[in-house]
Amino acid sequence: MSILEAKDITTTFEKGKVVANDNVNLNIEDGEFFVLLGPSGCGKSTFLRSVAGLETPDSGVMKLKGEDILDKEPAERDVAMMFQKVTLYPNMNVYDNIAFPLKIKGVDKDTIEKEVNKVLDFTQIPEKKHSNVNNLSGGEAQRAMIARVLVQDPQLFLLDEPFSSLDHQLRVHMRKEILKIHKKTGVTILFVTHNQEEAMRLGERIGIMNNGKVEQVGTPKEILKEPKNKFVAQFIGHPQINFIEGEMNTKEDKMYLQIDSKNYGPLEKSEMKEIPESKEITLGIRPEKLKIEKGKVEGENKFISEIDLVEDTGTDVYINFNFGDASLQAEVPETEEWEMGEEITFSFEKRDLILFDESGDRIK
Amino acid sequence: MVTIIKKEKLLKYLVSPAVIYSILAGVLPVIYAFRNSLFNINIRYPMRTLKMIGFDNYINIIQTSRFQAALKNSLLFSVEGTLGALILGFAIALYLYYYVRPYPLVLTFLSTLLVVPVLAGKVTNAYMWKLLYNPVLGIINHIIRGLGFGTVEFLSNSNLAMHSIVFTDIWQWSGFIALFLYAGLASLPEEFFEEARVIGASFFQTMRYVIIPNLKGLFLAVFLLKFMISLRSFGLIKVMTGGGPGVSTETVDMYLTWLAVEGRGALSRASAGAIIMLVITIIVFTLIIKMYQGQKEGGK
Repeated sequence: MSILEAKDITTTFEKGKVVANDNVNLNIEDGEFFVLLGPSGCGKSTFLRSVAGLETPDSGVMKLKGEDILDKEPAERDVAMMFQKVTLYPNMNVYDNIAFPLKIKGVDKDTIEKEVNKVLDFTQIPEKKHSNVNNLSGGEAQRAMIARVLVQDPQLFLLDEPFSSLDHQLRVHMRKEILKIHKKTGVTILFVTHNQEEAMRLGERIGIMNNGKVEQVGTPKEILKEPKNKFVAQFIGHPQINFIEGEMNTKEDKMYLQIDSKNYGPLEKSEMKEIPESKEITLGIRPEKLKIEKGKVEGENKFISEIDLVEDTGTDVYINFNFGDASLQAEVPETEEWEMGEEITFSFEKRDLILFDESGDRIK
Repeated sequence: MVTIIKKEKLLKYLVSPAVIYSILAGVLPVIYAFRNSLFNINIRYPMRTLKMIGFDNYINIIQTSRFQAALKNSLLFSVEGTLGALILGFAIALYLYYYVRPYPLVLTFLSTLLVVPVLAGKVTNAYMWKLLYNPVLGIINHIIRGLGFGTVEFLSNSNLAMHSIVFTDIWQWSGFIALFLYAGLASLPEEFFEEARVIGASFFQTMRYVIIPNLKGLFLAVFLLKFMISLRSFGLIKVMTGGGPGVSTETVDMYLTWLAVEGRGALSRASAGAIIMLVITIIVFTLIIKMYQGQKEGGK
């Protein structure tokens, strides 16, 4: 069952000059860990803030557990939010910060004590109960904020890039913590991030946004293997997907992709779910799917190039090379030596190809 | 290493004129006044033999009912005026923060308007309000009479006069204070306010539990600054009522001026009164600061 249903949500700023959300449609299932991913300024935070009640959409419908929420104040929506900045109040200690939402609601002292101690144990910071919040480490502060959210027992837990200001190690640690919390409590989470690795690791489903629109919603695997368009393909996956511009030529029942005056194919028409109308196409191939052989190897569907740059990260080795106008990157075995200027032959399997038409949409 | 030492010495030389000035202009006059307070100087009798009488002047002035009344008026004026300006200033700051901040041009315009009363100066404001309060010509009484009530003697009724002057003082300073407090509000992360909204705190709960506690230092600084300014109310009260009716609006600075110069010429006794006032001020300030520091160290 959908816990959050957003239909045709449009939000603009500066009297319509800036369109932050453009007819956004999203459904989040009960107990799901949903990640909203996109570059800075794509509208993902605006959408999250609309769910919280901190922004008011210009039009659309939003329901939480079947009830319309757009005309409700944030406090009436049964959601809890964790911001990017640390919002623990410096005038209160850890206990008082966590107890604050319950105090506001008029809950009695004994119940407050019971609930606060419960979440302190759950987030593993009971010894920090009476600490000044300014004396907490980054991780402890994050856990205290999570505790403050959990104590509210919300229907929906909203996180607005909560780990983006943390160092890598702490970030990785907090990701594991939030996953554990999700598994233990089953709370529905809407997590906003611009970090695609974070999205892929955390999300059960991911919604990718660009320029105020939702480009695609799917599981990490679906988005990686079947990106809806070039933007999604480029945004997901590390390293970034390679694009090669080409032309589609048809000969009898077979189709050939002409790239840099050489043909790749054939592709049986029956292999294509749809036949593109345009001749211009873009081939997408992920760096780890490119097959690299040393030297010049002749053969069908093989292409020759020269290594431009070798990148050794310590665990992986990548080579950069040009093909026509395209600059490509491939993952290569680290057990071999690779040198700049070295001749290589590259090829790829049909099944690893992702084709896009001239408007950027994927050809199925 | 040598360069650093040279720089430190240079800084000392550059700062020393300010330090010397502070000592000359601030500390020396106080020492001189204290010295005078131990003698029997009266400017009406300049040829009188100078005699050291110890703390007799202090004992005499403390027992003087007019001094006691003036002290009460000073404290009343300062506390009422400071609290009033702080509360009204905070209300204006909140209005600016919630409703005017999205419109930068309007904010700039209002900020300028708010500072005008302070820029006009207390004497200008005093004359203006004296006219506003006037029982015959004043617009306030004109409105009161228009509503069917009788004339109100704002400045000639001994029960109302002090409060009327305090109101002028609040009017003068609350705009200026509002700008300080607005800056304080704007310095708080917006997420503080948003977090409180999502949690479900009402406006008053947000103020009580989040905003005011986090601006305590600023409130204290503004309170002390305004309190200090209020103790120097001479110009305002002199113009509006001259200390009257009777001595009902006479503050310590007015009384001491009369004692030392206008009336009795008792310079030494007036000096004693001034030193007493200084000591009271230092005690009050120290107590308030200690209270604030005590709360700060409490971990909250």
